Amino acid sequence: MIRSRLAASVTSFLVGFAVANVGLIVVPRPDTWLWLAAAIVMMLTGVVGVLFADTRRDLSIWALLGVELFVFFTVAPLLWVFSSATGTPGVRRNTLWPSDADWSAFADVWASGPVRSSIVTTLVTAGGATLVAMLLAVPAAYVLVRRVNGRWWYLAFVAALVMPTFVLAAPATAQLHAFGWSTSRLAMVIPTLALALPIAVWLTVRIFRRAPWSLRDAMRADGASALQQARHFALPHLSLDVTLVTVLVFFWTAGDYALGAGMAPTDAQRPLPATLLALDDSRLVAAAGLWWLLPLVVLGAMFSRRLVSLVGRS
Amino acid sequence: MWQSGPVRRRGGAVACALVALLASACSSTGDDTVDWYVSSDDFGARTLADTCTDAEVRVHELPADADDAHTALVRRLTADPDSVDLLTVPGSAIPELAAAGLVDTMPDTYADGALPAAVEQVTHDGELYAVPWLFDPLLLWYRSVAAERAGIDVEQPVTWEDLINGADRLGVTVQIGTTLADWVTTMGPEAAEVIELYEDAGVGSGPTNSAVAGFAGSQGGFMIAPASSWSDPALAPLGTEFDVAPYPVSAEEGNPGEGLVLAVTSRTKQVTALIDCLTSDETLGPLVTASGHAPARTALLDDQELDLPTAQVLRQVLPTARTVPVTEHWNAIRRAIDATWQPLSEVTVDGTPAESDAAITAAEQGRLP
Amino acid sequence: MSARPWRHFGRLAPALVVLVLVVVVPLGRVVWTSLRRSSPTHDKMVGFDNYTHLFTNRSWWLAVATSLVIVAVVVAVQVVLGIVLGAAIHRVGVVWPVTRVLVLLPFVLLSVVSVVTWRDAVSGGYVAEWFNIDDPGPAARLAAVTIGEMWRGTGLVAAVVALALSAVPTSLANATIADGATGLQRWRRVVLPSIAPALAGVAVFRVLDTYRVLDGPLLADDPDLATAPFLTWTTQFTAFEWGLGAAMSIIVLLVALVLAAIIGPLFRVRRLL
Repeated sequence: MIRSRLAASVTSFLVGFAVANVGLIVVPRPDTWLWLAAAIVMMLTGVVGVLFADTRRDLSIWALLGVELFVFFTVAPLLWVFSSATGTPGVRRNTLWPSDADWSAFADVWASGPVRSSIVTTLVTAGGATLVAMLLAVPAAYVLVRRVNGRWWYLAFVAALVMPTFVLAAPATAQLHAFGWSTSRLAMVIPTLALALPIAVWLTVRIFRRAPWSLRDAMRADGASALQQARHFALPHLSLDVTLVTVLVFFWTAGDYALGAGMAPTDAQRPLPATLLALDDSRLVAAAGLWWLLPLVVLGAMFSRRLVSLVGRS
Repeated sequence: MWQSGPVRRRGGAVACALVALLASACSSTGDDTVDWYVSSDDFGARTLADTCTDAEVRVHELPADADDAHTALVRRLTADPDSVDLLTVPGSAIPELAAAGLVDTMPDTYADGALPAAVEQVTHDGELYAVPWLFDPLLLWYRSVAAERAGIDVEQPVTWEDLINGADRLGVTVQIGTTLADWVTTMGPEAAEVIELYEDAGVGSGPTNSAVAGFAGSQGGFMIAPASSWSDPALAPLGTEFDVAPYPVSAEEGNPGEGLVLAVTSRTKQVTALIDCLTSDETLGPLVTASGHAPARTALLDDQELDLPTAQVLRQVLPTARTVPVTEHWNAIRRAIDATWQPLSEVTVDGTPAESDAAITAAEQGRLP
Repeated sequence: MSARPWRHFGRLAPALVVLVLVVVVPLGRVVWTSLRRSSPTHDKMVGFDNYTHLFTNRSWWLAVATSLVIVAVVVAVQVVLGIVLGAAIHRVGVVWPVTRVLVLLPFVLLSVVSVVTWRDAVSGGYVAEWFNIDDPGPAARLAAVTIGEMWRGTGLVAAVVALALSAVPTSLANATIADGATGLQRWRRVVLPSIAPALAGVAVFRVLDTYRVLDGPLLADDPDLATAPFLTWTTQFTAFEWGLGAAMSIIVLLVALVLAAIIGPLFRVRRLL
């Protein structure tokens, strides 16, 4: 234990030292400070590790180092997105540290005509598909979880979840054209269901598996009406999860590039991801990305436990 | 229209708002507005539209990149043909559009008096699918001093060797103001040789968008560019120190050029009237002098009152002009040429033409190279 | 479970019908189109010509190989890093909401934004500044967006691993300590096999997710290092050769099927761990 801790501390200190050197010699200002900050954290970890090497507490220096690296690794590109978004308009940002932050991008992205138009498209197609998908998924998930041994049916949805959905873009476009719906954003909801329905079913099945159904069975046995069951079981135990799932399904569907890009007859009718990819202005793209993250971060902060358990396997 | 289940109360109001937004966000192509799509507006479409008709005309410019423009055009015409009333595109785009049934036929009278190459581009299956409007021959532009000192006699047909060697001796550049595919195609079988010579001599960086600027710059000497470059403001510093001559000789007869044509998705009275106005002599005269394009109806050039300095050379080259191959696969061929002839420094006489031919054959069959 | 499951099919049927309608029917259309030469100017039946052309075409198989190499490298790194980071997070017990949110942020960021910003980082951005990269060619851009894809997925794997580790029964782990097993042995014999199912699931997901990525290659626009999805997309939406593109789509799907069939069991084989 002590040896492992010492090894970790020494590694941490040496890596920190190397990072400091790279930061001072290679990296231009102002990003040098970021490298130095990282280096100091790692060297401090090394020092702390040596000081507490023989503690009986459950302290793993390797794990601490791992968490630090994880934080650097995750935060750096996110900081770059923020830095890109706060660059001076028309000037290419080339530092990680957002010096001279210009906050106009966050408003400009809403002022941009193409972006606004694509947001409407996304709301109609992805939003519409999310609504329909949830309406279909909730009863289906109920059956899959409670009534039928749904392993194979469930597998169908999972397969659709991981398949390369871009192959559906061309036939969807051709089909819309055959019906004369090439320019109808509402009609584009139908092919978009291929993105929304599988994830809706998958997530709803996961939350239904954890739901306390015995409570509801007891209610039914006691003779509660459907409305009472809804008020006293569905509302308190299911509604929050279902709402969260709906939001996730929307973001999953709205984030897809291929299907929307393929179906749009003209550039003006592309959904958000396709428009952003073609946008020449990285500042606006980064700002859009941060606006996109905002509701997810807020939800994540409020409901982190629930959301993470949706991802992990029990 | 699919019927959804009970709409959630929350979503209902939002849906109504969205539908309203949708209705207003969709581009409404009212019956009275003319949507004019132009591939590259270097002739003042807006002014022309205003002088020619009282109806509301919306001018839309297609993307500058050839691939993007082609993609945008085909997608729009396939999915939403009503949104396009009038098209102004290079003649090389017409065979594909005609074969795909995306543009409407025009009466044969619109081809009267137009030069043969331009008419051939817009004829498909014996029918006229677009109106030959303007024509842009590729010309050799030279700075007077440079031509003299390089010993190039512009009165005689110039060869590529003379041109490149002369420029090399003088230390000036030969700018290429046309796309790679056009340049390679117009040089014919000698393309690889010429490019090797060009690269060895180091007289320029090949096809570029800033050819005119380079020609007018300190190292400028020669340029291959369309006649319409005459109106490019970047030439202003040169004053009258430059002139034009026919394209350097190549194995194939005729001066290469590209037509600019007018096409419609549906031949209505309104758009036909606009075309009639655009192709009339009264409109073409000022347009030709202002933009440097030549008219497809070459008779106009004989008008002695036409104040176009390049008129003499144009009169000389237009009757026997030729275009890129008239084929519905032109875009695929262009991409194949771009893929096999780049980078220029790796072009070889032994390898590249064969590679290019194979790629072109594959492109015509719709296959991967 | 009800004794007569078919009664309840009524609630499942609409979802299944829609699934067939929006996935299976278009795929049927893809198969039908793949047997034709279909483009704005052509529409005729050509049988298996598209397939024979693809099977004997070098650039197609090069693209498929490029895709598979990218998938292999990206997922290998993601799994290894994900296990390391997930174990670290689990071990330090840092389970405030911040870490939980942070670990998933790369994954929930709009992938197009991730792709653009990673490309920018190398093309005149901070990475270019730090390491003096003056003129990144298409290959460098492709590398950047690929690393971006790796970054996106690692957090997800780490989250899954951290969660799975917290579910490993401590009694099992403690028993092996009592037996005198070293940390590494404990990991290999007890911990990794326990998290193998979860790891298998997320690995299959990441393999197929990375395989199908399109926005990255489209942005990098490297014609020499085309991936299979990139080639399929440009064939259909730039060259408008829908028939050939459909045949490519079918092959892309078949390869995806093979990948899914291989990767899952791979993680359940004890010997490998």
